[in-house]
Amino acid sequence: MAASSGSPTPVKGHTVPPGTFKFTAIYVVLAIYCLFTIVIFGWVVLTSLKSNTDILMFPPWHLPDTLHWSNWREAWETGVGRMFLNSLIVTTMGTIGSVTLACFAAWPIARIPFKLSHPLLMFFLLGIMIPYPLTAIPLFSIVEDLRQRFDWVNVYMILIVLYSVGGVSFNTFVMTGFYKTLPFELEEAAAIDGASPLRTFWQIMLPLAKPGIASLLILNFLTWWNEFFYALLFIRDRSEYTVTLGLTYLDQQAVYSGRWVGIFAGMTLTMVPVLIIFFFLQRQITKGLTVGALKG
Amino acid sequence: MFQQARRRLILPFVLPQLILYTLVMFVPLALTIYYSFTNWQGHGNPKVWVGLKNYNVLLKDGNFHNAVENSIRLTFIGGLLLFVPAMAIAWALQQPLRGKRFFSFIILAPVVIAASVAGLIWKWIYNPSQGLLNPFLERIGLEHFAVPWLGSPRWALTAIIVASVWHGVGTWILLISAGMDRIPPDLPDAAKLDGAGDWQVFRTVTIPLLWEVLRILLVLWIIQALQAFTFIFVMTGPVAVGGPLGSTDVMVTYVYRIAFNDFKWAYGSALATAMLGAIFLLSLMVNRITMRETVEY
Repeated sequence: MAASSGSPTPVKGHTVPPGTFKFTAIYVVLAIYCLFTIVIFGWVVLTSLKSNTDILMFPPWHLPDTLHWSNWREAWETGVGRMFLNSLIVTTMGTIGSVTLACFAAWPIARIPFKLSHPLLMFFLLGIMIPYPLTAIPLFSIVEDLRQRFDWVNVYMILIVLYSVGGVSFNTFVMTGFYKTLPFELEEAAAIDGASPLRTFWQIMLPLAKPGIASLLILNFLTWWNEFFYALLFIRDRSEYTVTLGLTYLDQQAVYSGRWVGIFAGMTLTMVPVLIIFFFLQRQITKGLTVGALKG
Repeated sequence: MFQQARRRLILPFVLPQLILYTLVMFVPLALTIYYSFTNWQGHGNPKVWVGLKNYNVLLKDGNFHNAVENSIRLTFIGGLLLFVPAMAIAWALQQPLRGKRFFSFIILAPVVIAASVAGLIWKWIYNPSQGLLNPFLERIGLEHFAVPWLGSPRWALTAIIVASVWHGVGTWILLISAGMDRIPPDLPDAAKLDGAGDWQVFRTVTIPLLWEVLRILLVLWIIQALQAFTFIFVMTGPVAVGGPLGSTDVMVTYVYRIAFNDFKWAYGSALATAMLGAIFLLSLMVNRITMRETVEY
């Protein structure tokens, strides 16, 4: 699949003079850049399969005699599995929360003419300008209060609420734009046929908005899966660690104990599944990453 | 009739988001600004109104100045390291190449890895004894350049910038590519027919047509770069965040330390408020400087 060098052949109607300097140069540069990234990933995976004594051998890229696959199981059982579960819970719920809020709120703004629709949209978009440290101190103190007053408040709920709201600005922006592209006649026709507005929204608008919703789900999931600041601020117990926070803890442990295999196994276990998912959903994720970013 | 029935849905549809958003974003925002005028020292302590005192302290706070300087340095160096290669690679990916899907997969792969994980990977790459970088430099005869990257006040910030650019560059390549896709192909084609070379087409056709997009991306970058935190926290922390010798201390890491290590909440709030001002001013300035007559197409 990788054409790392050599002369390019004509692709789809373009005729490229074979072996031009320009194309060779592009291939070489891209190949070097990609090799760089592959080496980094490869090194992390390779190191995660070494024994603790092998890791100390020079040079760091030497191949070990035996691959210790058990490192992975050990890391999974001693914490990474739990972190995965925690991350999965808060990320999934936070993603559903933020996209659902926007699916509802953006529809009247985009489709029903009313006086406050534009100011409302502007208000929702304002959040993009607010740096997250600016709300951190009051949030921390409010959460502290809630935790002391009610025992049923737990860190999952806190993170889910914060993630749901954290996506509001971007999601509302994208959903409003998306709803606006749908033809108005559909809703009128449905109304003439006697469908209630709620039913029209549920059975016509939402299904039509599916591509937009899918992109948002992917993008929000990626954002909250990788979130670090709120996790750092609000998670206290080791059993509550998400992947991003838990790995920094594993790293600290590795530095102090000298058992470096653990952190490399942890990094591999969190990296590889994401890369595999990305491999299969490359087109959708790429679309999700570009969505809305360049509108208007 | 039709619109009337629909209007009844406005409130129930908008209200949940409006309430949550106001409670979680704007109430804390107002509280932060209020706290910045008090002497609050953390949870459970009394709050007394002290007026502009925190802001006076802030103006003379050398550590804060250092943090602002580092933030600007990070924004500038990072911007250069990010946009130049991103433009080049985006351009390259516009050419009729084979294996494009493979190239874009590898280029985008770091983006889907969590920032904290990418930071940890690079922390180990820079590890002086067992990392990937220094043994490699020694092997190819450049042992001269093998410094303890994250331990050196001179190199630590740049080392962190390189790591975060590696992680993030894919997104920017994607966004620039999307901008390039919108340029009607007959414009560069016409220039080529007139005998313009690749570089000339890029400079006189692509860049001007892309200018609006680049401006937006630049402002986005500035807003993002001034809020840098995760990479610095992960690569220098958790004990000496911002080290060595404050050489990687940026605005957010400083606010974080003041607020959540020292629990000086009032002062932390003043710093955060000042940060909002800084971000606002800088992005406004860049927006002004880069304003040009835009080309309609």
